[in-house]
Amino acid sequence: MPTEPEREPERPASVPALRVVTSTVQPRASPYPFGIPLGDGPPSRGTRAARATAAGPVLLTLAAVLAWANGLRSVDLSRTSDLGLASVLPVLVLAAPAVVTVAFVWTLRQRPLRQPLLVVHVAALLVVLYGMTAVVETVPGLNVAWRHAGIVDYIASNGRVDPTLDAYFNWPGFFILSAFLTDVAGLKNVISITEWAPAFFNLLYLGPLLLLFTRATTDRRLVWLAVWFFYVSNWIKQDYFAPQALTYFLYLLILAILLRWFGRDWSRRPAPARFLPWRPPPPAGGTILGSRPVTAFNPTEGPRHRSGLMAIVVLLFAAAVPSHQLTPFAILVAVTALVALGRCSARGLPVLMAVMLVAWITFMTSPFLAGHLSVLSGQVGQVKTIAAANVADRLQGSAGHLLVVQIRVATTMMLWALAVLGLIRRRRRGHDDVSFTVLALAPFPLLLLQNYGGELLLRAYFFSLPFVAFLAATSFFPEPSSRVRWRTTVAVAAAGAVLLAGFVFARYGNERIDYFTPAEVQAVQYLYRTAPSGSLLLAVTPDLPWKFQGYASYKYRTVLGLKSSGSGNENLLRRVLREMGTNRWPGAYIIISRSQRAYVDAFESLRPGDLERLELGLRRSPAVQLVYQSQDATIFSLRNGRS
Amino acid sequence: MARRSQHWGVVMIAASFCAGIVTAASPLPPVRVAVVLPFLLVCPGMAVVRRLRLAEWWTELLLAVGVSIALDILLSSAMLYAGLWSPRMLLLGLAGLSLVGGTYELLQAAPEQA
Repeated sequence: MPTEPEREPERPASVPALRVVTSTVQPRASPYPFGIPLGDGPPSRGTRAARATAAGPVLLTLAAVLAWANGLRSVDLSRTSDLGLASVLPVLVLAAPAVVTVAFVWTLRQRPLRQPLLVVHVAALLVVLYGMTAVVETVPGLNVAWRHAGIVDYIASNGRVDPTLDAYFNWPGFFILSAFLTDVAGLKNVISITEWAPAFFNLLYLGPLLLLFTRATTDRRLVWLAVWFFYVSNWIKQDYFAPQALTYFLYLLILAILLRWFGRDWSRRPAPARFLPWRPPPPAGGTILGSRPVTAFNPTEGPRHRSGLMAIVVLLFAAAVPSHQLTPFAILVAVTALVALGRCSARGLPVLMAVMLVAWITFMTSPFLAGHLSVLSGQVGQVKTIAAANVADRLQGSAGHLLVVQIRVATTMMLWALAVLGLIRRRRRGHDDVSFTVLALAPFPLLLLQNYGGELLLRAYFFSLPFVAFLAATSFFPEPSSRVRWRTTVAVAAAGAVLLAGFVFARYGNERIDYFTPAEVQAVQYLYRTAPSGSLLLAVTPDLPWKFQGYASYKYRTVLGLKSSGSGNENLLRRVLREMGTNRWPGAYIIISRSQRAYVDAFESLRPGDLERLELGLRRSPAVQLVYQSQDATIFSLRNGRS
Repeated sequence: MARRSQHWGVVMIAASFCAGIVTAASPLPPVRVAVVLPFLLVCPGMAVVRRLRLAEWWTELLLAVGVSIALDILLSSAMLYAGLWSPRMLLLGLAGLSLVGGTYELLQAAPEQA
């Protein structure tokens, strides 16, 4: 049964809190810059063989990264199929993450555990997994990143937000921050730095992940394996230049602080002393990169520190509220669940968070809610509609795309199966993982509220991922051990390899749609140079590098959006012409590009041949004229437009 | 502990001055990116988090990054909604906060060393 943590004894104000708490464990000068190896036995000191053993995995990782960088130079994205980036990657590039995994597992079984080397392997993994597109893409990919750059451009240019434009301007925190950073850094726009955003954000997540995982275990092999599982399972691709990526860091950090300093879990059976032959065990928790033991299961600092930490939690949440529509709700649900189950001592926090959230929505998003309240409230509890948007609608498309979707489902199920297995194994050994189990499940009730554009299931997976990854890792290391058996080593490597193989397909499965060519960017730039302000800019699908400038100056629409009220080839063309010819626009343009064709092919969002017939119809129509053509893009404008 | 305090104090003061100078001199973007972004990512938050005197340096750094990002978001948003949008003024304000925090660190470190 959980109990209240022991209260810290009174002490003179001049004595730092930590010294009181750690007084039960005699601090000893650490021979390691990154902490004391717990449960690994006495270290073998500086022999040549030991150094060679330690250097082996690092050299292997270095070789893998070099091979990866060299192999990416020969990638031709134009040959990408509906299987995504994996279809054009050379074997060396595909093998690099697997080699890094072997090196990581090799380091993981070494004794003593060398955490700085694990950091090196994780950093290498981040580069080879999340830096892949930054290297192979000539121009930044993902249309949403271009759109976000346009919002930043609007704010930087105008020094204000316009809440009537769209939802982004009602939760603009991330964009205002980006506009601020762009200005003081002297950048013309942010699009040039968006390519490395996934690697940057995933590196940012490492700290909160370590803080979370060290809260749950003293076994640092388990901690690092959980980190590894997180990174090889984060295929959701919500770490690009977007509010979700930044607020996810705030989400992780808030939960880490609450569990670390305000948590009420404990293991019913602490780490056995027999695994710690040369020094007495610390109370629990251990350090991951620190220099002295800290208990994670009792508050390590006094009331002043706890007040300060709570103020930081409130500050972080206050920054999340105006920055993203969904993440504050995920935080609120998670914190409420922890408090309700007695796993967090900050009992008033959910109320405060709810008040902050409601206040923002009520007073700052009214322009958006005025037009969308019925839509948003109408989705609450509509399980069938939400399930269709989140699941059924995603299980369609070309054969290649369907295979990618199946791989996503399979890797997700594998991770969850490992998590359940780990939970059972840990439970049998008396470990209390209730907090992590709750946090793994907490995001899913959000599915009852709305479909979030069909993405809520993916977001729920993203929010639960750290906790699922940890529980999955416990299936291999349910308890601290001085040695890692070969059987376990092989199992870890095999699981890592399978998840990695799935990752490359799952994460980069839409690459044919997501990447853009310089010709496409040049076509859009031509559009912005020639189209008068206020013109209609029409595309077949939203997959286009547009909106990065003139965000509020043009009316953006897609043919797929128009298609809903019509059917048939002729009708599609007629709808396009009618939309362009309403004479409301000073100019009307339609752009058809390579990435849009890829989207239509992969998702089968139009009937086969529809897009070609539309383009042919536009070429023959006397109402429009061809104004731009390149190898990857075609632009038509309305002939009788005022442009 | 005293040495660490002094170390961070020096870092915060130096970074604040560098950020101010770079903003005033407007050198090429790579220099500004290299100086200003790390400063904004760490220093304003460190000025706050150092007051907690946490045990582990990496926890301190992590919270400093989190608080820095939160302060950057909240203060820039407040300026924008108040109609006072001025990124340079905000940067100088955050440099001032870090300067105060760094100076306080040094003042606190001196008696401990003594």
